[in-house]
Amino acid sequence: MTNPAERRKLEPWQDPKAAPYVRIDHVTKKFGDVYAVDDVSLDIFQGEFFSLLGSSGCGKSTLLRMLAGLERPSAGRIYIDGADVTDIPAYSRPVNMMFQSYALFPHMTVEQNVEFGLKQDRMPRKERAERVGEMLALLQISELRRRKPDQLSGGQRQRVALARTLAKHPKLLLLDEPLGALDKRLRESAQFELVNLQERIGITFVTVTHDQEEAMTMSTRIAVMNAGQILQVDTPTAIYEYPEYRFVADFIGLVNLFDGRVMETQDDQVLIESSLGRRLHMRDLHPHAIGTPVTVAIRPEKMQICSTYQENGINQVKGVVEDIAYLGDVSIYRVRVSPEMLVEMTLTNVHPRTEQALTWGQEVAMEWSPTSGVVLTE
Amino acid sequence: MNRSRWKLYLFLAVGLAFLYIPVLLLVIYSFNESRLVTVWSGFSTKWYGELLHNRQLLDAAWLSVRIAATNATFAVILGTLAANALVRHGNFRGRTGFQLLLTAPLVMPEVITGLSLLLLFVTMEHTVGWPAGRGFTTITIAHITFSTAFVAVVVRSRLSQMDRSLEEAAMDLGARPLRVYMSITLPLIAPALLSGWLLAFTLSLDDLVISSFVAGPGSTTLPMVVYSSVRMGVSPQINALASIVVLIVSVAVLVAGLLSMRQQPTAKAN
Amino acid sequence: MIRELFKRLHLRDRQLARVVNIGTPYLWLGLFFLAPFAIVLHISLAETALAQPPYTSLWEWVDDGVLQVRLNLQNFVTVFSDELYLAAFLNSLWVALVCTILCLLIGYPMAYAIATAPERRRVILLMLIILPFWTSFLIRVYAWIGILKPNGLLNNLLLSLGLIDQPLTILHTQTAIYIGVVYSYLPFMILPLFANLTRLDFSLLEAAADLGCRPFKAFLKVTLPLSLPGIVAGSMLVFIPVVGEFVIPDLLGGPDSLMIGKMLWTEFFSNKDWPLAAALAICLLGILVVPFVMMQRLEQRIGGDEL
Repeated sequence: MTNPAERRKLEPWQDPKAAPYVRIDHVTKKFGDVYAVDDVSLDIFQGEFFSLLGSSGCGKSTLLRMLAGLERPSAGRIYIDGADVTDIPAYSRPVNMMFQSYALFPHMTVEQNVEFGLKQDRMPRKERAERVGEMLALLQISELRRRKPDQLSGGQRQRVALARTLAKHPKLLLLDEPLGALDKRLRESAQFELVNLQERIGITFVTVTHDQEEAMTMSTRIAVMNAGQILQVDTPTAIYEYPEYRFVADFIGLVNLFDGRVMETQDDQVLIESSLGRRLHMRDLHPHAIGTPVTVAIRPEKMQICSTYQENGINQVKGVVEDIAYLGDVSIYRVRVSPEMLVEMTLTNVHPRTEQALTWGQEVAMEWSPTSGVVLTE
Repeated sequence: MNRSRWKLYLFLAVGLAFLYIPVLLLVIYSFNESRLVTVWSGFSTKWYGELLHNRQLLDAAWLSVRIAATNATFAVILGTLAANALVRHGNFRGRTGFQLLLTAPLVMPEVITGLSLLLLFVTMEHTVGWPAGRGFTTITIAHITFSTAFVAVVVRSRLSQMDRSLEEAAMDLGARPLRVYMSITLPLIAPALLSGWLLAFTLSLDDLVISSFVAGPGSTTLPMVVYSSVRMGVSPQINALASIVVLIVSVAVLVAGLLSMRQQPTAKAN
Repeated sequence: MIRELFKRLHLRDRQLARVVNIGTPYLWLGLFFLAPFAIVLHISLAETALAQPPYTSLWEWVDDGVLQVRLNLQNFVTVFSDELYLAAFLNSLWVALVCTILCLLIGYPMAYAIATAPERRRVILLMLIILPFWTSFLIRVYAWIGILKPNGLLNNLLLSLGLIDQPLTILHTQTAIYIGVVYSYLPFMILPLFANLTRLDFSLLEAAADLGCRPFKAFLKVTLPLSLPGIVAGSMLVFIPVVGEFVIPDLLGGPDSLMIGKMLWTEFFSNKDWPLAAALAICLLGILVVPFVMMQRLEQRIGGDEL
C-alpha cells in the first residue's frame, strides 16, 4: 500500500495523469424552473464502485438517468471512455442500468429477460444462449430460468435484474437504489455480494443510494449531493473522518457540532472560543483567519470519559445523562451540557449491560483529542 | 414534449373532433330557421317552441323519465349487491356463473335480450298471469336487467379500491357488520353509486331496441317516438330535442365528474 | 323480525349478508336474463300460428293421456338453407370484424395519448371520451344522417370546396354503417385500453431503451404484449354487440347491407314470425359464444378491471 505506484493503481483519482473513464462536465438539468442537477462536474475512473449519496430529491437519480441517456442534460457534456455520449440516446449507449423497481418484463421469463438486450444487438443465437447461461450461472439463478418475474422473491428479482444489465457487458453499470427493495437482513449480505461481483467482473459501477451505510460499505468513492450539487467527493473514510461541510458531517453518521470563533492559530493548530463558553483546541488542515466563525465537528465515538476534568478545561465538557440508546455492541449516551445543547457520546459495551458505567441522571465529563474532529466553516 | 408526443396529441385531437363534430353540428342546426335541416337560413328557436307543443313527444318523454328513474334506483341496489358479492365474498360456489350473468348483459346484442325478455313475459302472462299486459312494468324490468351489470362494474371498481382497514377499524370500535356497511362503506362508495345511478338512468332513457320488444300498445317511450320520426328522415324538431338531451347529459356528467374529482383526494388519503 | 328469523336459523350477520349479496342479483338475472334463453329455444322449435301469442304449443295432451311433443326444426332449416340469412350472418361478422379493427387502430393511439398525458390533463381527456358515451346512442347515429345524405353537410362541404362535382352516395351504404359503428363504439375500445395502459410501468420502456431497444421496437416488444388484455377486452366490447346491431344498419345502412340484427327485427315486427326470429336469435347466440367465452376467461384472469 505504501508503494506509490501501487497506490495509484488502487486509487486512480490520486494520480493526476490518470484519464477519467466517465467525465461529467458542467452538467445541468432543469425541469421547468427547477434545477434538479445544477452545474455538476465529476470524474469517475475505470473499475470504481462509485456512489452518489443524498436524500430524496437531491438530484442523484437525475444524474444517473443522464448517464444512462434516459434524460438529456439541459447544459454540459458527458463523456464515457473518451467519447462524448451526451447526444446518444439510451438505446445506443454502451451503458446499462438496473432500475430501482428492477423493471423486469412481466410477460417474459427470466431467460427471455436476460436475453432481451443481446437480441437487440443481433447477437447470433448460439452465442446468445451461451452468454445467458454464463450470466445465470454467475448470479446463481440458473434453476429459475423458466420462471416469470411474478414467481420470484425480491432477492431473486434483484439477481435477474443484475444478470440482465450485465449480459451486454456494458462499459458502465448504473444501479438505482440497487438494494432499496430488499429487506434489511438480505440487504447486508447483498452489499457484500455486489462488491465481490464488481471486483470479479471489473466493470465500473455507479450507484445511487440514500442509505449512507450502504454507500460506506460498498463504495471506492462517494459523492455527497444536496440540492442538485455535489458537496464532496471522497473515499468513505475521508467522507466520515474529514467532512468538508456541516451538511456532509451531519448527513453521514452521528456528529456533535460546536459553533465558535477562531481565537489563535499556529501552523495547523487552532484555538477556538466555543459558544459553550469553553475553549477548544483542534488541528485544522486549512487554517482560518482569526475571528472566523467556525463549527467544530466531533463524532460521538471520539468522545471519551474524562477523569481529569477541570472547569475551563480545553476540549472538555460536562453534563447529565438524559437518554441512553442501547444498540447491543455500543450504547449512545445523550448528555445535556447546557439548556440548549445535547452532546452524544458512544461507548463500546465491553461489559454486560447490567454493569454499564453510566446511568440516567448521572453527571459525566467528556473530552476529546485535537486530532479527532474537523473544523468547518460552511 | 418531443416530436412523437406531439403527433400523438394531434391524433388524439382529430379523434376527439370525430367524436364531437357530429353532435355539435346537430346542436347548431337545431337553431336553423329552415325545415331543410342541412341548409342554413337563419337563427331561430322555433323548433324548440314546437317541441313544447308536441303532446305525443312530451308524454313519451315523461314515461321514459319515470322508467329511467325507477330502473336506476333498482339497478343501483342490485348492482351494489352484486359488487359486494364479487369483492367481498371471494370464491363462493357458483362465482363463475355469477360473473357470467353480470358480464353477458354488457355485450349481449339488444335484439337478443329484447326478444328473449318479450318471450319470457308472454310465457309468464300465459302461465302465471303476471305481468298482465306490457308497458311500464315490463320495460322497467327489462331495463333493470341490463343496467344492473353496468352499475356492478362501476361500483365494483370503487369497492375494490377501498381501504378495508377502515371497515376493520369500525368493527374494532364495536360496530356490527350491517352498521359498518351503512355508516362507513356506503358513504365511501357514494360517488360510484351516484355515477352508477346516472349511468343506469341514461342507458334506460336511451334504449330503443329492448323497449320496442317489451313495450305494449300505449306505452311508447321517447326513443321509440324519435326512432319513428327519424325513419321518416331528418327533422329539425328532433335536432332540438337532441340538443336538449346533449345539454342535460353534459351538465350531469360534468357535475358527476367534478364531484368525483373532489372526492378523489380524500379517497387517496384514506 | 327477519333478523329474528335468521337468528333462529343460526345464520350470522356475515352469512346473511352473503345470502343477500349473492342471492338477490343471482335470482334476478337468472329469472330475467338466463331463463328467457330457454324460452327462446323453446319457441324457436314452434310453428307460427294466427293466434295470440302467434305460435303453436310444443306439446299437447292427446285424448288417452299421451303427451304429444312436436319439435319443429323447420325454422333452423330455413335459417341454414336460405342464402339471405347466411349472407346476413356473414356480413354481420364482417362488419363487426372491420369495425373492431378500425376502432383498435383509431382507439389505441388515443388511449395511449391519454394514458401518458400528465395527471391533470388525463382526467379531462378521459371525461371527453366518456361524455359522448353518455349522450343518446340513437341521437348520435341520427346526427350522421344529416351529415352523410346526398344533400347533407359533408357533400355540401366537399362540393363548395370543389373537391367533388357531384354528391357522393354514402348514406344507405355499407360505408355509412362502418362510420356509424366506429363512431358509436369507439369509446368502448378506448376505455379498457386506457385502463390497461395507465397501469403500464413506464420504467419497463426505459429498461428496454437502456438494453438497446429503439422506441418503436420497445413498443412492439413491451407495450403491445402487455396491453393485450386491454386489446382483447376492448375488441370484445365492440365485436359482440356489433354483430347483432340493429339501429345503425337500419338508419344508415341500405338494402344491400344485410345484417342479422335487422333481419331478426323484420321477422319479428313486420312478418310476425316469432319462431323464426327466435331461431335467428339462437343462431346468433351460438356464433357469439366463442368470443364471449374468450372475454369471460380474460376477465377471470384480470379480475374485471379492464371493463
